[in-house]
Formats: sequence, C-alpha cells, structure tokens
Amino acid sequence: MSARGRNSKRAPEPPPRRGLLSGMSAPPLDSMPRIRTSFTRGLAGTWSSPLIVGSLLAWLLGEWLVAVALGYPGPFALLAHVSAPTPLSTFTDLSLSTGILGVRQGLLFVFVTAAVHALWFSVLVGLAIETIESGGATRWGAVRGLRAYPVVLALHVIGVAVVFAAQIVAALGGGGLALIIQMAALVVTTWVFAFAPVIAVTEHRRLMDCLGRSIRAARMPGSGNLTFAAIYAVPIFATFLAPGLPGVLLDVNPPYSAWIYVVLMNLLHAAIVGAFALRYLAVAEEVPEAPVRSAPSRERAGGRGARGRR
Amino acid sequence: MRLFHLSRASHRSLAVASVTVAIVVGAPLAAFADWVQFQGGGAHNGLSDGPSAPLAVAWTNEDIDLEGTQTSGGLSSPVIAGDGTIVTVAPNAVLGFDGEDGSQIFSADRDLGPSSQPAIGQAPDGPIVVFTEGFGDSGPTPSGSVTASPSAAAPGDEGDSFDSHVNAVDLETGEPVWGSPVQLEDVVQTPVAVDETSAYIGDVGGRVTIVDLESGDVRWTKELGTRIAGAVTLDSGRALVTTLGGQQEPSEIVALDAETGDELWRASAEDASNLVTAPVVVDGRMLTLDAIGGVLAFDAEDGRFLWRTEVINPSHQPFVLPGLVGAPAPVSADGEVFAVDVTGRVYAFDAETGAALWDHALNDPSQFSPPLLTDDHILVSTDSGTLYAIDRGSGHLVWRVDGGGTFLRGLSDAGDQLVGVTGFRNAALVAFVADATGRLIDEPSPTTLDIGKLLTGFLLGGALTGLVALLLARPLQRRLGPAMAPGSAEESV
Repeated sequence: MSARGRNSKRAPEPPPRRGLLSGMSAPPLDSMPRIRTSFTRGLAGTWSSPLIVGSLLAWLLGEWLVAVALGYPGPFALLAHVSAPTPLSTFTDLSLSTGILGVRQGLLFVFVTAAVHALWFSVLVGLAIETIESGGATRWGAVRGLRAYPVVLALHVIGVAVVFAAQIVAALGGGGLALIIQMAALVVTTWVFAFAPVIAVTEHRRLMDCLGRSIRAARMPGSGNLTFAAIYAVPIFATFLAPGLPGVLLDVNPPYSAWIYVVLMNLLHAAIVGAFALRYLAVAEEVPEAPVRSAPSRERAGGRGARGRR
Repeated sequence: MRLFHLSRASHRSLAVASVTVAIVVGAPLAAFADWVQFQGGGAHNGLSDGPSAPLAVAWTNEDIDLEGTQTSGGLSSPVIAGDGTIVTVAPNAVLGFDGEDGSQIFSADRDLGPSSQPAIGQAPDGPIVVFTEGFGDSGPTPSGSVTASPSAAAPGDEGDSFDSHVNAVDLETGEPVWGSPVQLEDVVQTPVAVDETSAYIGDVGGRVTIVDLESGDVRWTKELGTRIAGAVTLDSGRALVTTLGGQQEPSEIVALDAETGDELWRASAEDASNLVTAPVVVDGRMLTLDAIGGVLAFDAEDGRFLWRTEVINPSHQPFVLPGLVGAPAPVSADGEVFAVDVTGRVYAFDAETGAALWDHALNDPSQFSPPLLTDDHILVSTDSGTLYAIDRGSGHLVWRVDGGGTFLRGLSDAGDQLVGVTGFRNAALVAFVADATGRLIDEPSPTTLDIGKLLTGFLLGGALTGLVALLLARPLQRRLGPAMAPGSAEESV
C-alpha cells in the first residue's frame, strides 16, 4: 500500500472549506451577545470609568498640543478617530503626519504617528477589557493593555497598507465604485482584526497567532460580527466625507463645539472597543484553534532533510 | 461681429466733469492705473498703488446679461484700460464697462469659449482688446471647478479642427482690428499677455503663439511639449513660459527671445512638482508655485534655481492648475514673497532665502484669483465673496468687506478703485474704494496658538462632554454590573 493510501485511511475527514461570508447564513451563535447588548455594555463600561474618560481627555489635549507645537495647523476634527480601531484611525495617522511634514516626508512619518497612536490604543484596550471583566478600570488595566502594543502597532501598519491598497483599487474602479471599494475595505479590515488586540491582552499569544485567531473569531458562524463592523464603520466613514462638521477649519484653538464633536467620537470609539472586548471574551472558548500542519508536509520536510544530510 | 455702445459719450462727459470737480475742490484723485493684463503688467507682479484697506463697496453692476445657454463660465478677471474702461470676457462676448459706475458701454460678439482674461494692447490706431475664443470640438466643460489636470479634451482624430482663435477689437469702436482671427490649434485657458508690439498666448497643447498687435499676423510659434500653465510673462525682451509637464516631460519655465522665439534657457527644480502659475518677475527673481505646495524662486536673468519652500495644508492640495477662469500666482515686493492657497491661507516668505515669515488661515477658499499687493496689505478675494486685507508686516487680518456676491475674483487696480467680478451664471462687477470712515481691525491667524482660547474650548466642550458622559453612564453601569459576570453575556438589554 502506498504512503498516500495509508494517510488517507488514518486522517479524519477535513471540515468543509467555508467561504469568507459563509457564516452569515448560519443561525445566531447563542453565546455571542447581541449587537445592542454589546454596545450598551461597552458604552456603560468605558464611559462610566473616570480613568478612561479622564485619560482620553488628557490624551486628546496632550496630542493636540504636541501636534500644534510640531506645526500642525488643523483641522482639529482629525483627532475624532484617534481611539478608533485600525484602519479607521489610519486616516488620522496619515493626515497628521502629512499635515506636519507634507506629502513626501509625511508618508514616512506616518509610522511614527502610528506608533504613538498604537500606544494609546493599547492602553485603551487594556482599560476597556478591565471594565468588561470587573466593571471598573484601574491603572493595572492600562499596564496590562501594553501587552497588545506589538499587535496594535502591526495593525496600524496593516491599516496603512489597506488604505493605500483600497485607494489604488478604487482609483481603477472610479466614481461611485471607488467609494464602495474604500468603504468595503474599511468594514472588512475592522471586522477581521478587531479582536486581535483583545486576544493579545487576554491570551498572551504571539502576533501572527493573534491575527489568525481574530480572523477565526470574526468568522464564527452566526456571530453577527460582520454586521456589527459594518454598522460601526460605515457611519464613521461617512463622517470623513461629511461637510460642515465642527473643527474642520484650520484653527489651532478649536472652539467648544469642535471639542464636543471630537470627544464624543472618541467616546463612541471607546464604547466600540469595549463592545469588541465583550464579544470576544464571550466566545473565546469556542473560537477554533488554528489547524495543525498536516503530517504529510512534515514527512516531506523530513525527507528533504534526510536527503540533505546524506 | 455685433457691437453696440451704450451712451459712451455721456459717460465720458460725466467722468471729465467728475475729474474737474475733484480738482476744483482739491480732493485727492489718483490717476487711472495701468492694469491692462493679468496681474497688471507683463511681469504679472500684482502690485497696486490703488486704494487699500479700509475698503468699501463703491458700486456693483449685477445687471449683466450673459447671452446664450453656456454661461457657466461667468466673467473673466477684468482688465483696465488707460481711460478707466473696464473690459472683461463673457462666454459669448467681450464686454466693456464704464470705470466710474460700472455701467455697460459696449459688447462685442465672441465665439463661445473659456472666460480667459483678455489684455489691452496698443495698436497704431489706439488701444485694442486682445482675447481668445473657442472651445474646440470638445465643447465647453463645466466651470467653477478647478482640476489639477487639463480639463479640455485632447484633439481627437486627425481632421478634427479646434475652433480656437485669438481675436482683437478696437477699444473705442468695438470693431475687429485684424482682417481675420488668428487660428490656434488648441483651446486657451490662460490669460493673454501683451507688450508694446505683440500678444502672447499659450494653449493647452503646449504651444506659444505670438501675434503682431497691428496686423494680427503670427510672428512666431513655439512648441513646448506640454500644457502652458499660466500667462506668458514678459521681462527684458524675453517671454517666460511655464510648462505643466507630464509623466515623462519635466515641468519647466522656458525663456524665449521675445523677438525671434529662440530658446534661451530652461529653469526647473529637482524636487518641484508640476508648476502651475505664470512666472512672476520681481526684483530679479522669477517666482512660481507648484502643485504640491512649493513656492519657487529662480534667477530671472539666467533661470538659476534659488530656493523652494513647501507650504503644507492638511485640508487641501495648496495650489492647483487654473481651470476655465482665474489663475493663481504669487506676489512679491520689498524683499517678501506672498502666496495664497486654494483654502484661503496666506503665506509670507523671505524673498532672499524662502524662509517662512508668517501665515494666516482665512478659512475662506480662494480658488479663482491671485492676490493683489498694495503698499501695506495683501488683498485676497475669496469664494464667499469677501475681500480680506492682511497686514504685510504682521500677517494679521486688518479688514474684511463683503463684495455682495460669491466667487469674488480678479481684483484689478483701476486707479482710485479696485474692480473685481463675482458669480458665474449670475455674474456681476464690483468696485471697492477706500473707506475713510472705516477703522482697521487686528486679528491674528487662527493658526496662532492662544492657550487661553484653547483651554476655554477644551473645558467648555471637551471636559464638559466627558463629565456628562460619566454622569450618564455610571448609573447604567451600576445597574448592569460587570459584563462578564455569570450569565450577564446572555442578558438582553
């Protein structure tokens, strides 16, 4: 009997391969909180924490002062998405860096602003997880959140790649199609990577494992994660295009209306981060592990090694 | 060509009487300025010795009928003849207005085309208005939008003719002065320039055509490869032409011998983007702007690169190629260079080094017009219709006045008044004069940090919002408890 024949007898039948959106038609996943529940829990947890709200205000004021000191003239409304998951916050990274250094140098500086924003987002994720787990946030939550820094930084880099790729593809599509492509790219990236920082904080996994597990968790049948990501990301994308929002002028002394808008948007993002944390933690034990590499490939590798040693 | 004059003689009489009365009563009255082409003269420096802030609207003429159906181009920036007559180009006509009150005094037919600024040249029999006309086979494109790419279609199949001309009418009679219009090969979207003997026209195909003012004969043409990006500048017997450049072709300023058309030199900067303005010559420097925000200076004598300073505007690409109306340009005087970007942000630089001196964000777009420089102020026309005056020394806003219509542009020095146009389909002419009763204001740019104002906004807006969020969410969180408590994840809210 050939080796192939022996393996095919022993190996269990592989699960049928699912398409990217095949989980949408599945019945609701019981253990996954409803979208409304997730959002309410996220909002109540993050907004009720003086530490989260206070540090958010302090971060915004501090970042604005630093940006102005570096020569950024506005618009202030750009900071509305500092606390958003990537790639929504990538627009802030890009606009801030090119707004300070210009298009040419700013495109390189984007990774510096991404690194700074990743720091804040890691802290925010840590605090949000703590409010979900214990009902309140402490500074230990912030310290714990720093575990997610490498993952969040990687997500910011991915965000830059996604935004550029979407713009290139959109440019080929042209017109209304461009808008749809860009929006789709934001929704899908938010959907598949939103859980990665939570996984990094709570499960101490390595970067690629966090990203892979986040994708698997996002795609769990009946979870409604794609719907949740779309409900969140599409209106946020609309604010990028909406005219007349407060804080869109070149002004380094934003009026109170601009502050209200920017703080409210960041609080909304914080609530969403809390909601994502709740949604992951609720199903963490059900998320399938990454499939183990199949035996034949190891055998082939061993065979090659044996030949090499000879 | 149809032509009609509207009681020009009576207007003339009125003007003469006004001058006489003014002299008799001893009131100061400036002579009519020489603003016969884009930004005044052949060097396009935009320097005005006319009135400055405080300014008030002297008169407006909203009774301007743009004939035909394709009127979206509105009026071109005006030019001012030596006798004060205001001349502007409408989509289908060349229009003349009395400098005293803005009433229309003549209209001459013109083939439908972009409302590119005309020029007033001196022919042996008197001043003539030189203008371009015709769109070519592609027809008109919507105006009011400025794009960074040529908006006129490229020539189609061979055999397609671009019905684009240079033409001229007598300023006094409105009659055509040349035997026939001068045929061009491409549409013209940039202002006409003139010197004592010739008119200089650059088209979107990259061709410069020089026409003798007296005869209308083409003296010479020159192919420069890519679209001409602004009015041809005339300085010391040379025609300086900006080419936009393309994927393979560099964007350059080309110096041509104005007499023969021979190429003298080409100027470019390695790190510059596409140059989008006419080269403005002031104090031996040649100034221009590039699309990504560069303000550039070259030696006007030999084209040697001097400096480039890049302005950064996070809201918008700072400088864009002129569309069907208007054209950007820097201005300079007394060792300073000034530029205004499309968002209405005004920048000042040291003319020697290019070092930034100050900036002022008006937050009122200025897409269609270069600024105008007076002794004390830089005057900026904006899309909202407001005319702003910025102090040249401090960069502070010292005056603003509403021009009464939107898209104020093309401010021209008409001696004791400044004349501009507003609107597109609802075109109007507006004149500003010195306002003896006005008192200057002193407002720093909103891009200047005011820590008190900043903190007030933060406390009233940011901190208060955070506090309200806390107060609302805490009772809710107390009621809900920790989300991960047993059974809580399944609970429905």
